[in-house]
Amino acid sequence: MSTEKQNQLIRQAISELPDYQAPEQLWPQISEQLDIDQKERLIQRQLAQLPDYHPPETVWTEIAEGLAKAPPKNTWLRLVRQPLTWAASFLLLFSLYWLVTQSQGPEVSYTYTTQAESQWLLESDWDADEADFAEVVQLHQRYLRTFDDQSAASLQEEFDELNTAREEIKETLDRYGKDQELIRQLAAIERARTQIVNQMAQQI
Amino acid sequence: MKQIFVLLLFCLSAPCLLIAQEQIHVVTKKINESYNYREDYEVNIEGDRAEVYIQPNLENKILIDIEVIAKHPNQEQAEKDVEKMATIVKRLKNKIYIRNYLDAEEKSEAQLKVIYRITVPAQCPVYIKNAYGVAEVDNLTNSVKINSKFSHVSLQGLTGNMDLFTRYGDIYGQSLSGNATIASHRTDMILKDIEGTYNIDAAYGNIQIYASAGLLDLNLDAEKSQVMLFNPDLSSFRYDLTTVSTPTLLPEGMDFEITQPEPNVQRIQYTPNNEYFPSFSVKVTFGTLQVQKSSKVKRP
Amino acid sequence: MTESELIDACLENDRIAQRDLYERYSKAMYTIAYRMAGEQDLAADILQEAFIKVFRSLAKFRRESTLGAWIKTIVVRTALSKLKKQPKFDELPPTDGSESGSWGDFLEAEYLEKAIQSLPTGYRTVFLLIEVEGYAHKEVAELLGITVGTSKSQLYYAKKKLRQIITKLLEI
Repeated sequence: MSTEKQNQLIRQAISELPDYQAPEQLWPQISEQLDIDQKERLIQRQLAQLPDYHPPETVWTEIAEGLAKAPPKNTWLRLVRQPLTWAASFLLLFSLYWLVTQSQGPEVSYTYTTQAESQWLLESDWDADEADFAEVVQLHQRYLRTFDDQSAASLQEEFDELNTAREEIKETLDRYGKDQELIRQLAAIERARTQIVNQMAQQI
Repeated sequence: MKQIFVLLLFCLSAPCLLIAQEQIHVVTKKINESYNYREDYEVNIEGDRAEVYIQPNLENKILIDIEVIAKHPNQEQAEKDVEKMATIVKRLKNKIYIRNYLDAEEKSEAQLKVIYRITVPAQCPVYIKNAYGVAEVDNLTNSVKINSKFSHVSLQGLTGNMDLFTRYGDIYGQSLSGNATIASHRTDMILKDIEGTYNIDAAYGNIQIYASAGLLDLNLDAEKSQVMLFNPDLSSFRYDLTTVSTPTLLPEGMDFEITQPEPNVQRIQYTPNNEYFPSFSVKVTFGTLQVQKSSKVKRP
Repeated sequence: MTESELIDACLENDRIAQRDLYERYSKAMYTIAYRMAGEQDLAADILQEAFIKVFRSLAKFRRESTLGAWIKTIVVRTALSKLKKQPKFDELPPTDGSESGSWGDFLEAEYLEKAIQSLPTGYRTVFLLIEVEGYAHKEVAELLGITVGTSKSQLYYAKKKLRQIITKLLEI
């Protein structure tokens, strides 16, 4: 049989090959895996959003105390520790007595007074211009992306830094109550921010 | 005339009548502690919203007075909030620790602040870390280290070592004598009548330095800052000034050697004829620099 | 102050520098400790012990990795030893609970956090170290004294368990 004939027979056989049905449980399995993939994506996205936690302030006090104590002693000293401990106990008792008579701990007392305070201290208007600032900053960022200007990049960095400082003071005002000195500091930062935003506006 | 006087009086008092005055309750919690001083003792203060005042005493003791002050129109609220400010006064071996803090989860409705008045023997080293407050240290003779943020720092009559690290706020120093290292960021600085050696690294500040005859060495690197150097005896100092894109004003009548190694960079030098001379090594980048004569300062 | 200057100052027992270093890293490290321990008091203990170790062994830090990475290793090891035993690794995969059911298009971080805290200790440890802290399986295997294969399979089961817990939380 010629090769040509063989090829023709093969082609015919191929065209007559049967189709097969996929098992019924296949699509549910695929669907389940797609579902799992989707859930994994949601989890991964949220892992980046997990909050940080502040340790309690007392931790640092404990660390400072721990550092002030000597690190664990060498092995040979452990052997003689017991007799030394007994000898030290008497000294400790005497020292404690001496310390107690020296320092009874801090004395605490309270006083109560009143004073008059001006109402105009309390107005918080430092967020009033944020929308306007945001507009200029956004335009400036677009400018920066287009022109890659070193001085423009520098302005953005300065602005970010001042923003961080601003947030710190606002947080402190929030936690400690409104205070003249803090408000003055905030005003100085606002002036600096204003200056930078004006410079940004000139660049764009 | 009488009518004019009455009208004037009314006009002067009217603004006062227009400002609403509120009665504020002030609750002050006072804490006192003292320690007998030993030669190796140090005082470490960590303040938050604190005003720290430190002065020397002659009693060979460390005397600590702390006031926690809460102000609120409602006394009960002020009493409640004054207790939210934790204070610690503790001695661990040779270190006296003094701290105040508001727990991270706490907020105060009352205005809260802390005032530390501490007196120590003059030779006692002091370390202060403070934020949003004041640190004033006078007349100590050993070592003062300050790490401050948004605080006013005032140092007067100090001798010995001074180490300052500041962010924002301002520094005022007068009659300082010793070795000082200052790293400041967005901190305005005035140093008057200073002697000894000074290494200053500054950014975004207004810096005014008034030298005296006892100043041996000033090394200043200032970025984006306005720098003014005042000197009562201009020609007895060596100057090595480098400016980058910085308008500079120099005193007249002195033969400065000015070169321009690169565009926008100037090198300004002057060496006196004396055998020994103190020196200013100053670099200012993207700021302004002014050198001028000041009146002589007499030390007490 | 640069990291290098800070380290040098800490080595000179400068308490202000030590406090600075602690403040730079305490929030991130406490977060790791809290997630591993599952409770605040234990997390505070872990943080305290770990930082004391950090300052006492700072002279041994060879500056080949970042300081943060070095401190994290100490915190993780301290947490593991504080948890007192090797994490229990289940021999059989989790079979209880279903993970079918739609979550919608958005998963709130609050649910994820709750679900992580609800994981058994062993699963939670592996999941946190790999998925949150970015350790490789080889590093986790070394830390926990297990094989890389065990680490991989435990992560697989941890994720499966996490999905089940989240599904249950969302049903409520």
